[in-house]
Amino acid sequence: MSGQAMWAILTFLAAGIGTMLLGLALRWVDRKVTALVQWRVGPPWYQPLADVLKLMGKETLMPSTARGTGFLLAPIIALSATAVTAAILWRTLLVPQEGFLGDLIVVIYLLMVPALMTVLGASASGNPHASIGAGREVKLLLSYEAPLLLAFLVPIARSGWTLDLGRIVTAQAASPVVFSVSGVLAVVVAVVCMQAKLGQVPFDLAEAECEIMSGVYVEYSGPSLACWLMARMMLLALLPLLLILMFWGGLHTGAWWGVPAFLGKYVLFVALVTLIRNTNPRLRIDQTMRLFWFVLVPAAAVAVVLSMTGISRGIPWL
Amino acid sequence: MNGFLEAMRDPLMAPIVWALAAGAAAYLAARLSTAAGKVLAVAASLMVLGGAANILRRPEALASSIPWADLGGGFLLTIDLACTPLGMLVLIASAGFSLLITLYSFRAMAGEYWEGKFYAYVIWSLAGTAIVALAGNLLVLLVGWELVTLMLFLMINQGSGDAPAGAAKAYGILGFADACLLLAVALLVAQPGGSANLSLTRGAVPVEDLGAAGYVVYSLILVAALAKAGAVPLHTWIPKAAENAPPSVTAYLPGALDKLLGVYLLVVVTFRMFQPDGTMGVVLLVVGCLTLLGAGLMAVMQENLNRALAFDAVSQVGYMAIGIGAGTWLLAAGGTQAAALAGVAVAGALFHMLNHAIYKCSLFLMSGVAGKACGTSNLSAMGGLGRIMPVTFLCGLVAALAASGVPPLNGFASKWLVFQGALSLKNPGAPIVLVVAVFASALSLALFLKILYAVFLSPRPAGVSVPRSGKGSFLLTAPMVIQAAACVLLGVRPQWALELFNPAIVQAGAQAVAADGGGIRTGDLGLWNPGVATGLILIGIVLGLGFAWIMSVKRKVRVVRPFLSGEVPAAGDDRFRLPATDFYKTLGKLPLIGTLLAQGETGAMDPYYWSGKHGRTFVELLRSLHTGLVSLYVAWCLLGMMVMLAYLLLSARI
Repeated sequence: MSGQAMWAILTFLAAGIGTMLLGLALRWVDRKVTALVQWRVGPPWYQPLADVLKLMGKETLMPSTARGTGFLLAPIIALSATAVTAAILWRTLLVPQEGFLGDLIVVIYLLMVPALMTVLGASASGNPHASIGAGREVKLLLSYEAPLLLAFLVPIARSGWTLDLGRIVTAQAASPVVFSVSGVLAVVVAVVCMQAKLGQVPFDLAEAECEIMSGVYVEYSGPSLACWLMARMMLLALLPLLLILMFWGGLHTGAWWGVPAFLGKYVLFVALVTLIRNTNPRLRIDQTMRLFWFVLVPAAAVAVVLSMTGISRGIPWL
Repeated sequence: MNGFLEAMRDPLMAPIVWALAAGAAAYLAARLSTAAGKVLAVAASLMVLGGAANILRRPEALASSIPWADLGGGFLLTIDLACTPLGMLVLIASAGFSLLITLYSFRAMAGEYWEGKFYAYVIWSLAGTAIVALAGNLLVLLVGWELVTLMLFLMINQGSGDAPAGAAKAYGILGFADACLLLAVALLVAQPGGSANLSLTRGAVPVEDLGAAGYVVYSLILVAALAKAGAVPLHTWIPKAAENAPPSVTAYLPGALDKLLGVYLLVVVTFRMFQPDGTMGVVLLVVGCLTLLGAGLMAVMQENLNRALAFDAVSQVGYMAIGIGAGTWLLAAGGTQAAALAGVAVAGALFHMLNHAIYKCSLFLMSGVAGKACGTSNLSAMGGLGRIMPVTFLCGLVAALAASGVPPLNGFASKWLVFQGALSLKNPGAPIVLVVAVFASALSLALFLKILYAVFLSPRPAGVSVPRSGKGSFLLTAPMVIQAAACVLLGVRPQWALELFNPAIVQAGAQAVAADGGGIRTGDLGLWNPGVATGLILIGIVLGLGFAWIMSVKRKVRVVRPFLSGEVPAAGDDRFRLPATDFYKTLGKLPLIGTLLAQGETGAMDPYYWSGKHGRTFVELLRSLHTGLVSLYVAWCLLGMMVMLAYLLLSARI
């Protein structure tokens, strides 16, 4: 095995495990803050880990209607695709000068895999609640994909039309995208899309506990459910990172304030997720699609037009 | 006889002559024995493959020209043949598809009343494709082109139900396209230079050099190519034909060969015959975006499996149009870097053409097997095949994920190149094209999730008997397995295919990526490195499985009743089954999009429907004039004579 492949595997393992631990911590923060908002004490710091470990020890139940292999394999594929994304993103953050496995398009498609596996797993369970959830999950994917990409086009255009994540990060060394009118607009759109991609309230309609009994996950239990929980926690850790890379210039390794500033940005994005989920009621799927296609797509398009005007006229703040 | 023997010795002529002769033999033998047709179809595919190998074996670039007749006025009829890398790719791929379809049809077409003739048509379609792929001038290409159209009509016409209407529609639209091509030939011959203008090998001529006629000719050939490939708005024959045609036919012609031919002609006219200006590139980009979005949205709303696949087949042509359009625009912009980036875009379009033919052919074959098992192609009445046909399910899954562009399958590799091409436009069009292209990919994913759910994963509807895959199912599944393997292989090693069609394009692309950003970063050819990423995903899955196994080493998976909030469905109770056709009903209720979809479904955007409607009004008008009364005809005669008299008097200036 070549040295390069060895490094790739090591990065993959380190990023996967690291992101999982970070995801557990973030999940705890999210739950604790939610509890405090709701005037409760909230769980202890080890609660998410305890949940996962407990599920790992449980037996796996499979409904008689399920298509077994697909049903059990889906969460594992979702988890490993998320881990590959983690490897790409962390590596870009730490060493933006060197390309790694892929670029933004690869990341966008890899981030689609967990949603895809959720739908396949849910379909394979043969449960009608899961089927309804699966249909909604796909519609949600269709809803946020276009505005998210449009929002990403702002940093892509500002870095000279490249899809290379590393170059998008290094192009922002002097002034991050978010310090511009188009950048702010794009970040707002991207944050809403992130909320939808995470399946958090108000976009948790694929699960909707009190309506379709956790929808896509209704038949999952034991280790398979633990895999889903871990994949989602990892996404909770990864999407703020992606947004920082795209809009806020990553980690300024040269400066002393680089790491604290990065942590500040990271906490800000995670706090936004928690804040939005605690202050909004769930939207119906048609409301969600209208919001994304008829409000966020035009908004993101305006951002792209503004940024392109800014580039052609030489106005950096536009 | 001597001429025939002479032709057989010419390596370029040989595959064509063999295929035509094999087709004729199969047609003659059709009434006597179907086995002869089968043997001849396999033999013809192998002979064409052998002929292609024979051409590739020779180091020199082959070309042959056989004078036929001098029609006067500078119009020399010659049979020009030439060998180009792309033509050879089309030839080899179509022979491969023909072989797979023949194997599949051994079982799928067994017992059909026209089984013998079917194999003759398959061979002749291959012969037509071979003529197009090896053509050295536009007239020879037109002959092959027309032959394939005719075979398509004959084959669709044999389907069940409303098939003749589908065949008529296909022939109507493709006949119009062929007429455009013929008109282009006539216009080209009328230009200074005569029949030499038809040559496909003399090098690209700037469109402006021919003046307005140049633009007209280019547009006519463009219409022919896009109608064959099936781009909006000339796509409507594909869904109609797919509805009732036998699956072998849909998979072979609209699924694979017509796409190869359409895109091949598009590339030939855009890069080999002419040097179009940037405007033509923009036209192609607009057509590509409309095709991707329009057909993609229509596809997710379909309730019939074949129609849904057909609309997706239309939608994917958009990527090829975008790749070639971006290439045209970049080439017209000038500069070495732009030329190299154009190479990336065009390579993406061509790679996507090949990939699409592979997975769409496989999906149409899957639809044939599934449709036969369930006795219907209506998605809401299908289901439960995942358990009964695991191999078909797996192949369908791979092909569907490849079509949706999920890494690391082949669809992703070619879309990646098209995205790069679109982005390198670096003009206000780039963001629109990129967003449309990525969004259309999500639409494809949505469609295939619906199909996978409906056909394989959802519970079987009540009242449908247990389908069984019986004797000979190996022949049905083997082509799908081969195609699924090709999807994986070309996804993990895209360089193999890219090097096959044009090493120069790949090198140019690599140089472009190098010039663009200090070294090739994501792979040895400017591609992302699918090998490592696939390896990592596989390692992840193995680790996950190992972990799951350790956790459940003492306990087996326990099978329980599905959770239905305490309800226990009785046998045959369909209340707990959600049909896949309900998945995207929300889309139809959205403002604007819902209206557009409803309009699309009623044929408001179908030129065939409109020309039929208005043509009918005209015919009715003429018909109303023919009442059979003598006095009326006498009145018409008198009126005509008066008009003639008036004309003569006026022209004589009396």
